Amino acid sequence: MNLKLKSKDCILLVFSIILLVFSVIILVFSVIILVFSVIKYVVFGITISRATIGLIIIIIDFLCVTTVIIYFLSKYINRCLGKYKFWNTLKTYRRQVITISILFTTIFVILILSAISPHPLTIYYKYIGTIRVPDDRSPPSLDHLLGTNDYGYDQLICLIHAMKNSILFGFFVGSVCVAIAIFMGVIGPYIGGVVDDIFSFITNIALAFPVIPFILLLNTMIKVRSMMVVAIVITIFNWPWAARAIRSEVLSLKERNFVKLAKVTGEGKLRIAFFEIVPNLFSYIFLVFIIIIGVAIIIEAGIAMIGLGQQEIVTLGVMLYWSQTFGHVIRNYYFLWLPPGLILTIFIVMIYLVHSSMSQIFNPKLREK
Amino acid sequence: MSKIISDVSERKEKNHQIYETEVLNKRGNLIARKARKILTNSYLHFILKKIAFYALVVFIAVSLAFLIPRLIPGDPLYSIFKPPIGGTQQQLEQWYAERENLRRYLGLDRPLWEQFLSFWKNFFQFNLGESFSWYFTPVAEIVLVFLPYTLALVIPALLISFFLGNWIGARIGFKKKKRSTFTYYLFIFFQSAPYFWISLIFFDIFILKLRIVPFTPTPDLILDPSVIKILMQQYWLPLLTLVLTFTGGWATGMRSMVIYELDSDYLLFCRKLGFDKKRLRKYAKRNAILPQYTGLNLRFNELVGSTLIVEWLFLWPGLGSLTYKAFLSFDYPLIIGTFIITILVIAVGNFLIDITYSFIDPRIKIGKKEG
Amino acid sequence: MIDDTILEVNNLRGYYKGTFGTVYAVDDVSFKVNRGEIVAIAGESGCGKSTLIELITGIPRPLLHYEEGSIVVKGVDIYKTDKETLRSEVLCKILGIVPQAALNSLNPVKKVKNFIYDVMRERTGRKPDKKEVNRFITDHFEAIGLEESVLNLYPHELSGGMKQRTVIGIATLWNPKLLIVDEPTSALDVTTQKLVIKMLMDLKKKDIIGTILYISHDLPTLKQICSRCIIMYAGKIVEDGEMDDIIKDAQHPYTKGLISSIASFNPDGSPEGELVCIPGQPPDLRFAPTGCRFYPRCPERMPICEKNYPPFFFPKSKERPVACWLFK
Repeated sequence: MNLKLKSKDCILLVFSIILLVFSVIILVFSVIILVFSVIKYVVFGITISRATIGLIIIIIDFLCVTTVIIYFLSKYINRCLGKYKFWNTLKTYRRQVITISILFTTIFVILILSAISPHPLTIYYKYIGTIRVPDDRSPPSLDHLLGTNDYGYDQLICLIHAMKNSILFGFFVGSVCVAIAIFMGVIGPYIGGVVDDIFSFITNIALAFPVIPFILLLNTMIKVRSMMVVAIVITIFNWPWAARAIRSEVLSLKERNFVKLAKVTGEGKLRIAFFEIVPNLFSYIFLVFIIIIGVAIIIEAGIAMIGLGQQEIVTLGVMLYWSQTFGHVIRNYYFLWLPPGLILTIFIVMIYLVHSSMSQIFNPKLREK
Repeated sequence: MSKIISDVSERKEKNHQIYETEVLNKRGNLIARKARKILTNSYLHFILKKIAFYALVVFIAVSLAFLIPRLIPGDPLYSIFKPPIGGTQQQLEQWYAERENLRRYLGLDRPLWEQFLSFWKNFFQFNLGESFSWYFTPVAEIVLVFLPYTLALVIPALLISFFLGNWIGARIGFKKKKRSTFTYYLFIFFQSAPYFWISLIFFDIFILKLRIVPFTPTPDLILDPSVIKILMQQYWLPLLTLVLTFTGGWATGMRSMVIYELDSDYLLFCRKLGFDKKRLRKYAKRNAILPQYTGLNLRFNELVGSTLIVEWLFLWPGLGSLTYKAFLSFDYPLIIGTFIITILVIAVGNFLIDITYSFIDPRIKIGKKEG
Repeated sequence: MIDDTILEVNNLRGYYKGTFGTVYAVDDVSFKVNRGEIVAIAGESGCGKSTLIELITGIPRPLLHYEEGSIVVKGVDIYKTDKETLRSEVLCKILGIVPQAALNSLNPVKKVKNFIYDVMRERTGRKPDKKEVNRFITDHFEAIGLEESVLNLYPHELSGGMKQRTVIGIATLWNPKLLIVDEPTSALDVTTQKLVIKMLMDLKKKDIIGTILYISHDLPTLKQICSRCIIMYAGKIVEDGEMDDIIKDAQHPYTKGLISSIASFNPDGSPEGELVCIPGQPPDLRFAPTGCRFYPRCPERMPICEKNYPPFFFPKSKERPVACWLFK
């Protein structure tokens, strides 16, 4: 096979090498800063600037995650071009690589930042004369990069922890939803007959119920604002959508040849369902999972903002609830009510971009040319 | 002569017989055929099936609405009617006796299944109980006053966002210029932005900064004409919030559907037949709307839920702010009544959407002859 | 002197370009089609027949690019005229095309007659009078043997054979000079195939269509209709001549292999002759080989075949060109 290396490939190769070298330089530089900050802390006792550490971690993390993603993508999609596999994958699938690495980077960064930052609910005090009062609603300054809350909490730290909690909540709800949906969606059509009819009937009925009116009903009656209650209710109302999507995929997979082959060779039905069909569903399940995370986060935030959501853990919705209750909008405290919503929007945008770019890979019909 | 007469009478009888057998039977057959056509028309079957389905959904939801407050531990009457502080023992006992009277009046001391049956009996008589906080006005009356305001938000928001969103999505899908990519990302932003946060932004911009919309909390009584004028000024703000958020979703979905349709075989054939671009795009749009329409069901549910919250935030006098008022005063019958009406609205909306789907997609074989 | 050449293709090249690289689908193809002929283009799946048709239409599919060469249809050079003239003058009036996936070629949400109204509106530029159009279509469809009831149905209510015949009917509404039919029978059963073939022959007999270019890989069907045959392999033409002549006395080794791999039966059901398969696979057209493309599978290969692609030679007893070094 003669591989004619065109000039376009050469330029891209050179460009990629330059980018890699540049990133290595930044990496080295960041490591030096990190070491220096640690030394400064240890020697001089000054608190490390959290922003610096955050920045460093972001850069390191972005590089690692990007590399890992490219590696996995290049294994997933077979290219027969040997050593140019890496760069070709980067070139062709750069949209997918970028969106997924940004999403995973953000999640890792938030988890790490929330692990190293102090507890969000620590009150910061200021001195008026000689009296010590909570430092509430002070505008952004060098000490508190986004200002402080009505309670005296640091807004930036609250925001980081709120985002972490929202994401974890979304993950939790998403995984339970997807588990139920896989069960209802795979077992039903695979066994067929009456069982399939019953399962799809249950799914269709549950699909017609709306989430928010139910939560309004429930939480206006119950005084307790519990996270588990909200999580369970959101799960109950989101699994039918996922189950229906998975069920239609399973129905189309069922007709394919490899399943018929497995049937002919005498494998048991359950084995076929879980070892033949589900592995082909992984890509679809991933997409469904991502969407449910986004939906769960938004619903939880919406209800919390009204005051009917959970108030055990600080999520972005709870921060918006504080904005609503303490009237931040009217008093023009931009730094208090804009960031939570903005972060929420950005996160959902990232989820949507990941979903749309990954579905381009998994569903070849949607590939843009 | 007699032969002629007998011939004629024979022929008359034969004609009469023919008339009986053929014509009358035909008429009878016609009626029988029409009746059979109506009874076996599969479209009618489909409608009846859907009615039964949504009736079941409403039944389950309303039963849950009945059960939840009664299964919650704690006495609902306690939180609403607190015993007087201080006062003599006699006054306290009197107060307790009155509360027991109230309990008996509300039927809260009867066994659960009895309450259930009487609840459903009342439901079919359009009696949803009486509100605590509004001095025992029937809940149905109160809710029906607030319901049109919610519908005035939901229905226009649904129609505008659907048609506008799909039209913009199709335009973005057809063109590949930089401007359309920018519009695409703008719509992704709008679709992802939470409607409750956008309502805060609009609140800040229009009410506080530009002072276009007056910030008056809406009064309780909504039927005065002067009040309606103020409401009209406030109307477009929640509507704009809802439309903006939901249009984005339709636009991005339509764009990907249109891109997918542009590659389909029948469009390639039409191109070979010499169709111009405008008609090709019209075909693509027409076929791409079908999968969008199936998503209309879920989006409608989402829209109703979002409307409730947006009303709460803007204090627009709809079912959302009614729930808010009821929540503030622990008015359980009103909360349940609002929920029931919301469920009914959702069921009716979904039912209408399901029925009209077959008019749009001729491939759904409901009531059509197969070729 | 009336110009007899309907279609003339010279040195046509068309490549698919995309993220997978470049596929040299049609490389240096030249042939001529005269008026009144029924020419078959035969070859294996993937040898470039459909790509050739896409290039001839002037509007190739998204990934296909026309590289060089000329296609002249009744005096109109397709790639030198602008798209607008092509669309309004050439397509459908001179050139009628029945695409390969005819089963999906009708708009699913429109009835057949509404679709034809749209076609008429596009062609004539104004709204057609429904009664007139109805009469016109009914006459035309009757002439080609389709029932009138087809017009009032939706595409999903038609069977495969009816869809195929409807598509042929629509493509021939304006009596195009050249009708290109791309694999009309591959998705149909034998009885329906017969109906379609009969329809095409009727079209020719009733002079609705002058010339037909028939693409297929199904040689027995081709034998029934076509007078001339062009055999393609891996993007190039290997043999071009009279149908009966090719079948009885194939010259190119690929053609010989193709003919002998057709299963044929004696009247009593026993197989006639041995079934010989051509070993190997067609070449991957992403890497265009320099020599003859049939070289790896040819039973009669020579060293020169690997290095140079053979031009057309005329074997001693025949007047038709064959691209093989054996006949130098």
